[in-house]
Amino acid sequence: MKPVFFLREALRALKRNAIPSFAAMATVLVTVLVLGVFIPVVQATTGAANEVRGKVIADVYLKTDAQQKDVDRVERVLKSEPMIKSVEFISKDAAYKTERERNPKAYELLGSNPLPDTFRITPGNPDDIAKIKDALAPEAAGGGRTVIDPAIDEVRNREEDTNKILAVTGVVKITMALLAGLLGVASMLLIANTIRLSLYARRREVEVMKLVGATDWFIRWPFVLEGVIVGLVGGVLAIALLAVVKIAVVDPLAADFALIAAPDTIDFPLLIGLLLVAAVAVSSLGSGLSLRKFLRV
Amino acid sequence: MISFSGVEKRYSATDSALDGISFDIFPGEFVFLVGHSGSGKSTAMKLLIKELEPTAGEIRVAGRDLQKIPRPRVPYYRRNLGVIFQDYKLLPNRTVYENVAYALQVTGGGRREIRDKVPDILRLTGLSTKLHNYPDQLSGGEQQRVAIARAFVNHPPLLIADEPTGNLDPETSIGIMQLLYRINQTGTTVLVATHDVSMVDKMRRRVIELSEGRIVRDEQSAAYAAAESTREFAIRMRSAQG
Ligand SMILES: Nc1ncnc2c1ncn2[C@@H]1O[C@H](COP(=O)(O)OP(=O)(O)OP(=O)(O)O)[C@@H](O)[C@H]1O
Ligand SMILES: [Mg+2]
Repeated sequence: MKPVFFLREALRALKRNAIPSFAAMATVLVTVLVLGVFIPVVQATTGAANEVRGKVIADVYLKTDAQQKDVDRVERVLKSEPMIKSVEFISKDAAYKTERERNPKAYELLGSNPLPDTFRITPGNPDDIAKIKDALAPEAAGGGRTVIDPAIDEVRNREEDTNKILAVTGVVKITMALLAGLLGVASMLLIANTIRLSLYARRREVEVMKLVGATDWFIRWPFVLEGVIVGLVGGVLAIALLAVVKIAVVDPLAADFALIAAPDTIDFPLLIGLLLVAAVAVSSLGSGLSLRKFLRV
Repeated sequence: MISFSGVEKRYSATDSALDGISFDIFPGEFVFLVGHSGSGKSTAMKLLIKELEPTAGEIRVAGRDLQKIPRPRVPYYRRNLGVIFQDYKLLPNRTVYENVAYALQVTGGGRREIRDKVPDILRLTGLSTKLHNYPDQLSGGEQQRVAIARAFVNHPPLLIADEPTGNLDPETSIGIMQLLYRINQTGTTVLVATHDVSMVDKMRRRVIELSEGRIVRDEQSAAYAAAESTREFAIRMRSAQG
């Protein structure tokens, strides 16, 4: 292999086929741009959906006469349940304090503390919340519920809210995943197709090269390098545009609205790294592979 | 050098372009393959360069059975033949100089070899003033000569030319034939397919005639002047013309 020769050949081809080369480059540019905008949007949306789902909880109320040993026992039972991610204990005194602050007059009238000790549990997967409830308070034959520990009074989650949250965020997440998949596939097809068109115009040339004794790789290397250059230039231009938009528009906004800087969006350097690698890989592999058909001479 | 035995080529099930032809060409020979349009000349040429595979029969070149050359080795086989195509097959995006240089580059020839050989062959073919023209800036005869220069720059032991004087005027045709003759004089075996019968008659070389895919004539010319110099050859060709 003679890298300098192949590189010169690739550059010559780019220059002599300026319009198809430009089309391929523009395709890469637009695709990377769209992906570069879309990926963080998908992540922010899914992040927001997950945050909402994080609010799905259930409260385990203990009987008002529960002793410290009962509290400890129930806590052990809850912590040994694998579907439960975390257990937070809210003592009756703590609950009384917060409630009284919220509604001083009503609690003034009550005098004594009517609130029970409570465990607030967060499920590992929000979709499991119903199963957790069933595990802690299995449905009895008669229609009511029994509890697995005599110290537990009731297990309660806000059914209405929970179901709505799970349904809406589920749809959002699936839609986003589908859109991301579709966009990825469309990008690949678009780039591959542009490359195929530009190669098709040059199939005679490839045929002639084969007939005068060039090996497949002798012909292929310049095409692969051409793909690398197209991917690199298109990718770098798109990333430069993305960076400008990020610095000029997104960053100032993010300072004002917490929403945009959702906690789990991808790092900008990682994002551009991934996009660049993908652009170069798709473009060069596309050139190399599409050529195969024309090399059968 | 070349041996066809019982070679058959069908493009479709019904009719065959070549219908079981056999002949042998020996090293150093200058042979014409003639026949009407559609008689199968180009098909025979394409089989020789393994652009096509025969339906039946065996082709040997320099003792090698073409059927037995594995696909990855085909480019190396092709480098041993110079081929002049009926439609020239020049690379449109390359100048005259670059087209000829490409034939050296595929064999791994370096810049030095290219600088040594390409100007020489272009001088021989009379293209020294057209080095930096692209094929679409050349006349048909000039393109034909670029094709010859490219085919011969490696000095292959076998040169095959499909209709090298295709659409050229008689004077230019003689120039091309003279060039091929000169190449033959250096020891290269030359096989020329053509339907230009008057040219063939004047050349007085071995003629294989095809008709509808069969050999109908294969004869040496009686007045074969083996030791004729290129100059004598040219004079005879021009006088026969008048
Ligand atoms: N690719 C092809 N597919 C189908 N038939 C073909 C193909 N190439 C050639 N033929 C047929 O094979 C026969 C021989 O064609 P070939 O090109 O060998 O003729 P030729 O002697 O070179 O003619 P010419 O002097 O016009 O160049 C013709 O009848 C032609 O129609
Ligand atoms: Mg022909």
